[in-house]
Amino acid sequence: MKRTPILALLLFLALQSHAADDTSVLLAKAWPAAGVAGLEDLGTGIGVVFTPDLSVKDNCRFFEALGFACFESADWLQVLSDIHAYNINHPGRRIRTLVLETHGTNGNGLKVQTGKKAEDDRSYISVAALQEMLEPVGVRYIILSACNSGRLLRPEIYRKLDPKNGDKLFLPANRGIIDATDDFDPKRTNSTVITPATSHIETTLVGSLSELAPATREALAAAAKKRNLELPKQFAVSEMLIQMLLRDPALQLRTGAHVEELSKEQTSPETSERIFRSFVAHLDGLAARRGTQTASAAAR
Amino acid sequence: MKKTPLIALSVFCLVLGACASTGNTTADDASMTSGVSANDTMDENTSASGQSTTQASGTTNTHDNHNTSGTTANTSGTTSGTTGHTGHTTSGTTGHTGHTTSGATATGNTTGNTTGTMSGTTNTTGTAGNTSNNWNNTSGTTGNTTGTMSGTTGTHAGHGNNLTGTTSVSGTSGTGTTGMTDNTATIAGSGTVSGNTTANTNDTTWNTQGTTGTATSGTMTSGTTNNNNNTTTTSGRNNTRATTTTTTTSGTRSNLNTNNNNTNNNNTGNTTGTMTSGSANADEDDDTTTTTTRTRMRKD
Repeated sequence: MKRTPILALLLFLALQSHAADDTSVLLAKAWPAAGVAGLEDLGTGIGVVFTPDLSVKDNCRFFEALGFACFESADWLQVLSDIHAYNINHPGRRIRTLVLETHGTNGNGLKVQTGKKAEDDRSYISVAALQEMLEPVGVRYIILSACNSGRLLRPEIYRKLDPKNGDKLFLPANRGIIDATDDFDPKRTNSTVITPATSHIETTLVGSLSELAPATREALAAAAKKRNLELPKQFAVSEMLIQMLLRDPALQLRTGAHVEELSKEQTSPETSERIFRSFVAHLDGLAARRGTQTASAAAR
Repeated sequence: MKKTPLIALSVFCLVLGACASTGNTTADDASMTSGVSANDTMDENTSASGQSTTQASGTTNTHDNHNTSGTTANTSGTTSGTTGHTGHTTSGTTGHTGHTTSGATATGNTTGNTTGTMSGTTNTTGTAGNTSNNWNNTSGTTGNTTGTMSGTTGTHAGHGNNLTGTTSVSGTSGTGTTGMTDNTATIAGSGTVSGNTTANTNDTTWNTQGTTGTATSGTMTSGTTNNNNNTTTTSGRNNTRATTTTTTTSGTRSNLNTNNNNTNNNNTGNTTGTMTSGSANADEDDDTTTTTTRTRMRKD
């Protein structure tokens, strides 16, 4: 009688540990450079897709300065086309992992849009269609940083979205809906879809460059200058991307499974702030390390 | 045989008196020579001296020496033109036979006109050009101003033109070669830090625009009783939080949600501060306002 709760606890802890291992392994494969790269190469091999309404002006320049490939459009066809072009034109820095900073439409479709009015530009894509179109250009991992993204893998909409799902967030797709073709066989694809282990509302945070340490801003400015970029004043970054970068143990990821649950859970403002501060601290640390290395090299 | 014509001519002359000299040069070759000989005394080098202005023109009489008379000749200028030998034109008609050179032959004074044009670089006195300031206070952000300084100075760039603006905390150097670029310009005058404060919170505003300005005082101009402490912090990119001024506002509540760009719409009262001094800093930097409330965007 007394052993049952203990066994249950042990089983729970074992499962948690296993999940953590899965997450670290997944991230080691999908974003290997995160732990070792310098500030300007932080995003090497990583592409980020922003829906315009979850971004800020010139947001991509911030990420490009950090070494990411960045895309922002309300038209999935445009995004896919740009990714194709990028991998063709940057054979040495090809995108292997794509992080989708988009809407999940309550798990009814990956949505990019300019706004929430019915007449705003907007398009949707199914997960299978993403795999089908991105695998040929070398994208191996697709990380869904969208709300309730586990629901996007439900068999009934995995290949083909249901435009009549009745969800009020599923606004008119005046830029179209992209579904997978009948020829697509998920068993044969080499691309892996990664989602959070549990359903919840994902959050994107807006920060200002002024929140970074002066040395970090200088390092970022130098990195931007190398790439002929002008840094924006603000940037938008998701909590999930930060957590992946920092290998936050609170982040649990998984592959190959869907969820039915529609969750309204969202992190608290305090938690958001803590996550954001850790991001700033990480960037500041990288910049400081870079400064130390530069000074050491100069001394030699 | 040879003397006959001479004798005949002499007789003819004696009879008719037709060969008397009038004092003018006769038109034979020998008399023309005496007229032209005036050139021998000409000084080919024309000196130019005088005061200022940019163009010299006038008439030079070639009496013995070439003096360029005229209105100018700058010490730094050069006289180009044909003031020497070859520039002489003899007024009048020097006929080949039977003509006289007017006023020239017997005395050896050849009157000619020398035309020359003063060209070259004159002494340019630069004028500190119009330095106009166009500071635009960004309404609704406490202590945050963006502005452009435009204007051009004369050739005396970098002499520290005083820039008098109507504002305060920050600004970016505009186009033109103003004193801003060497950080020698100063901003003096009264500026206004206007904006809305957030009720019941400590509203911290970071102004990282490149001005090490100091908001030295603040005056509550309107609004209801508001016992909040509002902190305005100004700093430049290369400066670390130059000055912090705490302004306690109190007054009458008014202008609720008017002229308000703060993220938080709970604004009461306006705080007006006065910029009293500060030096320009050409750095470009973030002039956004960061409030304690971070923007969070749901990815649903």
